[in-house]
Amino acid sequence: MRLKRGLGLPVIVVTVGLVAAACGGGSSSSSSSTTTTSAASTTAPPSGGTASDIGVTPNQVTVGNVSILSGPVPGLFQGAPNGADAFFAYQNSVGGVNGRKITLKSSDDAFSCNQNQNETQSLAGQAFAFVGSFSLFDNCGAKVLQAQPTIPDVAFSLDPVAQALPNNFSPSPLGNGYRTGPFIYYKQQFPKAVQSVGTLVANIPSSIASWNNEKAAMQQVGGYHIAYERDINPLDTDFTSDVVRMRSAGVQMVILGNADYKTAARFLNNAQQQGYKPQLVESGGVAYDASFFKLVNPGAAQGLLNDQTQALYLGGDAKTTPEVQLFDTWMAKTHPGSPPDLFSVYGWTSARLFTQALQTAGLNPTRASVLAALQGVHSFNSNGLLATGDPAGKKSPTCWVLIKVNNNQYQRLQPPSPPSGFTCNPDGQYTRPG
Amino acid sequence: MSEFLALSVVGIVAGCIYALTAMGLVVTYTTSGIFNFAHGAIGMVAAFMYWELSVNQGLPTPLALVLVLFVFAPLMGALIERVLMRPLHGASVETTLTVTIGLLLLLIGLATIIWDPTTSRVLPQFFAGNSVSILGVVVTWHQLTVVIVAAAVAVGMRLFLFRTRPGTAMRAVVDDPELASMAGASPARFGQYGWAIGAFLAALAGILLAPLVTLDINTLTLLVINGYAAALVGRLKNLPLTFAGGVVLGLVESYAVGYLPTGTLLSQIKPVVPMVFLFIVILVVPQGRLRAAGRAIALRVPRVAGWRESVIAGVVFVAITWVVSAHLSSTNLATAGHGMAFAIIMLSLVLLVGYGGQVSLCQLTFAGLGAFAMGEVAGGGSWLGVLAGIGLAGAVGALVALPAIRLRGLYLALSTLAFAEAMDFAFFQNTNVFGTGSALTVGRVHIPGISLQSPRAFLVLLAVVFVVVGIGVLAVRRSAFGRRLVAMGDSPSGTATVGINITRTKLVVFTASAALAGLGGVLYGGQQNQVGANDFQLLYSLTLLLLASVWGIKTVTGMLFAGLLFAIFPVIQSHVPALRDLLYLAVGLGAISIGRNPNGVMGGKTPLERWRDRRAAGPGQPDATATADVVEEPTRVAG
Repeated sequence: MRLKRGLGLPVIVVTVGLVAAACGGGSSSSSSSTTTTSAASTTAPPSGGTASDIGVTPNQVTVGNVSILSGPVPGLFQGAPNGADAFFAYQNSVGGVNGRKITLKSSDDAFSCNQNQNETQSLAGQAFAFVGSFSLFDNCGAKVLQAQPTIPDVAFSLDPVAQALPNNFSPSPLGNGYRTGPFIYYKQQFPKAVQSVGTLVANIPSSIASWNNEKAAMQQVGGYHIAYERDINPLDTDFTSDVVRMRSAGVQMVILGNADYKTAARFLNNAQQQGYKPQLVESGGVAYDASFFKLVNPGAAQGLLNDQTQALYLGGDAKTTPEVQLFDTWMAKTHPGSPPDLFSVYGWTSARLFTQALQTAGLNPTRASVLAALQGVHSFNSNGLLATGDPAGKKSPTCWVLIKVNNNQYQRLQPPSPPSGFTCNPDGQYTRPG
Repeated sequence: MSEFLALSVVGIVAGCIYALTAMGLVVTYTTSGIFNFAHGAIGMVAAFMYWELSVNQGLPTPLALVLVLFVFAPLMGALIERVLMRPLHGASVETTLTVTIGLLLLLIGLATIIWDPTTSRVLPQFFAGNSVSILGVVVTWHQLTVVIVAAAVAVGMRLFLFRTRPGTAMRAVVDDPELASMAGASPARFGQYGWAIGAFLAALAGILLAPLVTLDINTLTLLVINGYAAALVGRLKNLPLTFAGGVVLGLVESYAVGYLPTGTLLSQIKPVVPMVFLFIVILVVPQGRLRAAGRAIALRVPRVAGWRESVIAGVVFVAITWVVSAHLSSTNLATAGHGMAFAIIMLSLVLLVGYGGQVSLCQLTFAGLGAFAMGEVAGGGSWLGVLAGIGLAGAVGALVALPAIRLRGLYLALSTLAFAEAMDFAFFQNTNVFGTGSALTVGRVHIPGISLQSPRAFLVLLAVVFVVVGIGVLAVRRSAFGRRLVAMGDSPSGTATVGINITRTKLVVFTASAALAGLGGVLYGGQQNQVGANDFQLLYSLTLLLLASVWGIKTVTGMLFAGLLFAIFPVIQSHVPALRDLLYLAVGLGAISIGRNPNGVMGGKTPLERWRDRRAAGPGQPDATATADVVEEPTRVAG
């Protein structure tokens, strides 16, 4: 996975954009997603449900969310609770689940490990489950979840320990590795370019780890040669030296997926200014952002490729994937000032996965019954908003979609037909040993 | 060769950016005697104001420029001088640093409230679409403008300050306001002019840089840190040298990217180049005569508690902690524990800054080293780990202090800042340190027969440690070494004159302070059972220093309140969303108050003491010391 964003304390800042380029897969078969948009299926009318567990009343289920909402970069992951909240608003609009409305209690860890732990502890006594949390300090809250393994935690966790907890279920598990599908595709389409690869990697642990996995995935595919790589920090604002160096090194494929979208925009602007046009620039999904085209000069991102494991949720797939339409509509309805972003996708899809399990758990859900339901979910794609992953098996999606920038617009490139879904290859994954 | 030339052009353009930010700093320093940490923040606010007028409100570019550069920025500078800086006349370096850091946070807080940081904003480049090719590198007209403006500022401001009467008068009122006023120069007026010019230059830099680096509150504010090295090349007074320093720094960075082998450890050097450069410059370039350090104003020293009083207070405090902790929820216990751990780290500042007068901006770095050692040694919960944490932090503290030993005041502060930043990039963010999960498990020390696993037990342990360390710090203050420390803080030269070995004193206190911070780090790690890459960043060290100063950096009790407040901030942010954006403002305002109350909240007189003073003064007699901690004593200290 890759995460990152704009600044904060210097280092954190870069941290957001990277979540984007997570999973992906091989080449051949095209699987159009299952896109029956529905509220977590049938919504039974109120019929005698009881206060069956913590956070459950006859007409309400309360769930918690702990994300970074303030601190050096205010609103850093506000999208996460927003996305979950939007889904629950939609679900409640169609009657909730088994007659119960779902209420989200959103907590802010204020960019603090201690506060993440405290808020998780505090909500553990009030909320039925955790849904859609997103924080750089989820390793701290994980201590609480580890000590109380009966609490369902449906969230995209960054921390490897949190991911490995038996009660954590991610709508799009990271796994320990990287998808090889895009690299197989690039090798087929740009056989010369892959022989000379250059990259900029944000100097933070998650980016570096992601890049190491990516390198190993390229090695597995074969034929790739890394000609230039450099760690960058948040105060790096000009990349002309890198452009000069890459040009002299003959770099023809540039990977920007382990930096944030601001860095990608700056690099592309510098490259355009210097007339440097590598055959292939790939951003692994970080450049798929509503703000990206504000920052990049006209034409500088022309031809940029994003491979990602989410549908074109900024409206591109709205006509062909009803879930995208639903997501965009409810995000606009519930949080009109916040454009959808990757974190709201994770919030939304976490909420859908939880709601699906809650539905399965029956009229009087308990934490144990919901956990049991989640343990049975080995295939989840949030009705096509995500590539299919295995939340119970903690296996990342091996499918991916390729998006091309054309005239400062995002256009679906792969799979081209049907105009929705993802390109899949069941074996398209490098998995790090151990 | 063509690549070398191309990299040179790139380096010069980037260097001019550093130079432009650095020269504003130098001008402010030259005309006010204050190193303005908030210089970047002033430029940031001006750049946002320019965006507001030209882009958001649609005013014509020239009009927006005139309004911001010639009205808004100078007025802001003059206002800052009048309200914040004038009372600092003659204050110590640590006071001026604290106030300007507070101003930095205040401006960030204001900008965050006015301009939502989650919204992307773009300032178009001047002369967009126009460029020239120089030695194979395409340079936009906007970049050329930066180069030309930087060179013009270097020459123009040099001529203004050294060849014109107003410029000379401005420098004169900083050198010796009394003498200057005898010659007819008004210190207040010229000080205000100096700040107006400094703010104008900050605004100029902000407006020129924002289109190149994106209009972002934090980036624009912190970018100036890279310019510190350039400013010190010019010894904070020589603008052409500062310009040259900026260009050299830009070239070094560019060549580092160009010639260091990629994919190796060496390729990670670039992020720390400005900090390493700063460190080297501080050590190599002879120190200029630091005006702000050239004066000392004697403060009313807070009363130091005696042995008996300290022990009784300590026992009472532990007892209260024991009783109160029984009624706290687990989350409140954790918050209190955090506060106590921070308070122990802050006690290290009492020794170093409060008594010794040596400013350190890297105490959390030492704490991080302590936590790291505790987590890595002997399984993460042993006494060996505690010793290793204290030892590692102390040893690194000594290593940092050794080259910096001849430094004082501002130079020392900047060297510790460079160290903190370099450690953040090179150590804490390194995956070999905290692993790819960015967290290292840190155990709690094993005490035979006592379990410290419960939050309450560990909180009580922290209280005991705080009391023991606090009593120790007070004992140091009462000792001969403590008197040497205070003397060194008041007047290094005077202290050396009476035969006290300043070098050894400084080395010992720096090492002891770092070791103490390391102990705090050990306990901090134990409190949350882990530490991560984001726990020890520079900004937190700055906030720690600010809070310590606000509460009274010469007092043990002040550190307790400061530590607890530091831990409570996230709780407030979490539970009172309406106050989230106000916290920066609050901290900033608190720090600014240091200018009027250098001893801080706990260092001032208690109501009882004030009442006694009034009684002693007799009815109808004003109490000369009741409202001021500052004793008028304009004694000049050499150097």
